[in-house]
Amino acid sequence: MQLWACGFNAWGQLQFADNKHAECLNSDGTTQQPTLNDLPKDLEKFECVLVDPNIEVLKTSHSATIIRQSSQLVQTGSPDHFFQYLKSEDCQVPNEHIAQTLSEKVAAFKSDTLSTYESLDKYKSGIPIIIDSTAVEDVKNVIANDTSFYALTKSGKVLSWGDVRHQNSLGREVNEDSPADVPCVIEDLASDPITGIKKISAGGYIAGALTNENDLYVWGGRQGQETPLPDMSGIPDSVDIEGEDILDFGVGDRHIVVLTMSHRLWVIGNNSNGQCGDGSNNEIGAWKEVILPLDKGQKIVKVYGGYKTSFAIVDGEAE
Amino acid sequence: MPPQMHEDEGTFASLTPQSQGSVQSSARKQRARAESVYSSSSLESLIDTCWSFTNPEPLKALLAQSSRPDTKHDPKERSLLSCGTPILQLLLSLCTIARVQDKSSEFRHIIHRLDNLILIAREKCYAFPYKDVPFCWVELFRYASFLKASVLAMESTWGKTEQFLPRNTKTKGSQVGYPRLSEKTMDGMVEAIDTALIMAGHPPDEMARVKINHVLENLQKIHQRKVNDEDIPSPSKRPRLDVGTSPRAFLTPNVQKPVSIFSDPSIPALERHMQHPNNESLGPEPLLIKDSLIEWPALAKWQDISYLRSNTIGGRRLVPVEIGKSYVDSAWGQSIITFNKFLDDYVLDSPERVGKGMAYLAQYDLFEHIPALRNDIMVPDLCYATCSPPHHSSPFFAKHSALPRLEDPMLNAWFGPAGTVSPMHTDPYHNILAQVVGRKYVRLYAPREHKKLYPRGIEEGGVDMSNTSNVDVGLISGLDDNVDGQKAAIDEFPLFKEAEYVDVILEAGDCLYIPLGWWHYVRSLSLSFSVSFWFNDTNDMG
Repeated sequence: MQLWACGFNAWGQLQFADNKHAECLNSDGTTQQPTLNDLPKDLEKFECVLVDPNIEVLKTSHSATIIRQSSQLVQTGSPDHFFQYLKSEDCQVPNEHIAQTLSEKVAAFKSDTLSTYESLDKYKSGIPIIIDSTAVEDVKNVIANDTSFYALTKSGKVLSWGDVRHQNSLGREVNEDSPADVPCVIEDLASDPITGIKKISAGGYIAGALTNENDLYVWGGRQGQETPLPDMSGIPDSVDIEGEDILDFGVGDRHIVVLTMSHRLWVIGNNSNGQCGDGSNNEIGAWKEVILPLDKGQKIVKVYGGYKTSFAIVDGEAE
Repeated sequence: MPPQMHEDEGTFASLTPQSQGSVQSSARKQRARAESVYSSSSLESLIDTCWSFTNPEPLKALLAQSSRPDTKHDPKERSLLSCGTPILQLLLSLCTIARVQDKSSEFRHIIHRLDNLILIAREKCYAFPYKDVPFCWVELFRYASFLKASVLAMESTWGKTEQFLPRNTKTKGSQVGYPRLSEKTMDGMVEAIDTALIMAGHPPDEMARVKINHVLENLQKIHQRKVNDEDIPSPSKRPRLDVGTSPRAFLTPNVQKPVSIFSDPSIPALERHMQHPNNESLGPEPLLIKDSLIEWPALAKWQDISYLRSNTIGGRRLVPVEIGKSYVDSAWGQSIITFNKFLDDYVLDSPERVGKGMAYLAQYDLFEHIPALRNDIMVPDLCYATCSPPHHSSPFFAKHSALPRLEDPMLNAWFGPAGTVSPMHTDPYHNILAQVVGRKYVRLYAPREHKKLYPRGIEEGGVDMSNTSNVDVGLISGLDDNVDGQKAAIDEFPLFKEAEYVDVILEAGDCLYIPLGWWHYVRSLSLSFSVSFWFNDTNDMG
């Protein structure tokens, strides 16, 4: 299995141990600080950055990436406070169950409840913002973008909550019964013909959900900022790429990466740091296919979006 | 919104360092050479300040503090500390490389990374509610922006900038002056600095404030030298702002209830006026002070478009403007643009302006931003009068009574084409509105009339608009020449016609005293430049 990556790399967050530009791993799994005289460069094209029998991208921040590599957690780049905490022994919840917004609020799924905290310090002290935490059925994944949280349940429902100022990010109505700051189901993703959601991803002020029927829905946007897809709003809308079913997707802060069922990789949106991986930094206004220089027998099986970064997992034997 | 830079580089190819020893006999060249020595001293002083922005020592100290496990992260801490180790580490690397300069490719890379950091700071500022943005991110916005401007200034000497620092040129006796800054470099420096000053505010630290003003003053001098050396063409010859009636001014209102004239303005007279109003149920009334700006250099100077361009580093300085009909309009927005773009696309009658819509440089302290213009005006003595408290009929009596006393009057500039509108609203201060260029129509309603003015309430997103009327005065009074709209407005707001008002057309040189709590509607009848002075001392008695 190979991990391919492109985009923002100011802190070496795309440099993994097996890479040809490898850096030594510290005992705690982080890479060494880049030397003062050699700043890491952005990767404007997808590059193979790691080879391992088993790779999963768990979390990305502005300055770091956490992956699972053959059941071991590895962190690259330079961790901020939140990522330091995730890697520490104090963190008792799996990485998939805790998230932080850019506004530094923290949400976590613990003991069958979803709780939100004003800051990481408040989380550590166990003082949530609202005392009555929301009881929910089993949550698979909690993620965040700049001001909102999203939780995916095992039954395939998506809940959203966050800053009332950026309601489009929530993808649902905000009213007295479903206030912005309380986790509420996104009804548009729970009604016919959708039978359930299998993956969620979010970044910036946007988010997306992949249905059991292999359709991708995206929503969000902030006033004064262009969205990757034109006409994005607070209502989840399906994405059409040549009429194909969608296998996987990832949402960055202002770009989206999509893998179709035929294992073709498509990108759209902001490309200031090469995060679309097409070798340029030009904004991409319409879905564009990016072809990785793979060997016959290799194919892309998974994709992820990070802060101005994209990742692709490539499987199959190189011939 | 991102600033839209006015890009005018590319036409000035001859901005290379002057070759040594080429003897020219013409008088003009001699003059130019003498001035370029002066200009290079501004340049070296500028580079010296820019170099100081790349000092890695403060960052090293912060990093040492940040890596201590017991460091508390207080969002109110007034430093970059809470940006965290990754950001501090990257800033330190960038500053270090900017001083070592051992690879030419690094220059672009540093600028790219500073742009990335400025964007992260900007995103952080958006993510938090305005009042909760931690200081460190606002400071990062400024820090990375000033660093960017500083590194831009070093482009032409990359690899050897340090040799040009005054302390080194003195000791080594080098005669080689610093290469001139290209137009593009100056554009980039001003854009970086001004975007930060407008969006993040001026630095609270006095030292940083002095340093950044020093950079801007030197850029101003360097620009002035370039114009004098005729390296660049002088601004288009348009000696005076055309303040004639523009077709966009629509109808000139007839003044129905003229504001009383304050014939012998003085502090005691204004205090008597405030404390002993003619009509107790109205409170102190507005007063017109005719021809009171005779001593203001601005009165003549600001009509001169080349003066305004020249004092904004050739029109490069950025200003925040409001785009759209008025701030209650749905299509209204704010933008940060160069002074040149504002003049050419929105204020002057020029081909560029066609179809661009309305823009208004409104309620902005242009004088902190561009201190040279501050010298052209004077705070009216009347602003130091002992003020009357809010009138008992004002719906904002309690709110305005609780406001702290201003240390100094608050200055704001209001500059735009004919047809700009400030919708009917009321401010929390007494106001002297000084009309410097052009004409403005002002209509005023006493605080007690507020119910007939249909104030707005708390609007979407929790914005309190209760100081602004729902009534579009231009529409309902027929100034917009829209008969159907006028009828509909009269039906919608039936009490409005019963509200008593006074009105006035301010001519250049006039001042209007607007008492605290009076509602006012302001409409420019020509190209117009006004300055408002807000003042109070209503909290003196507790």
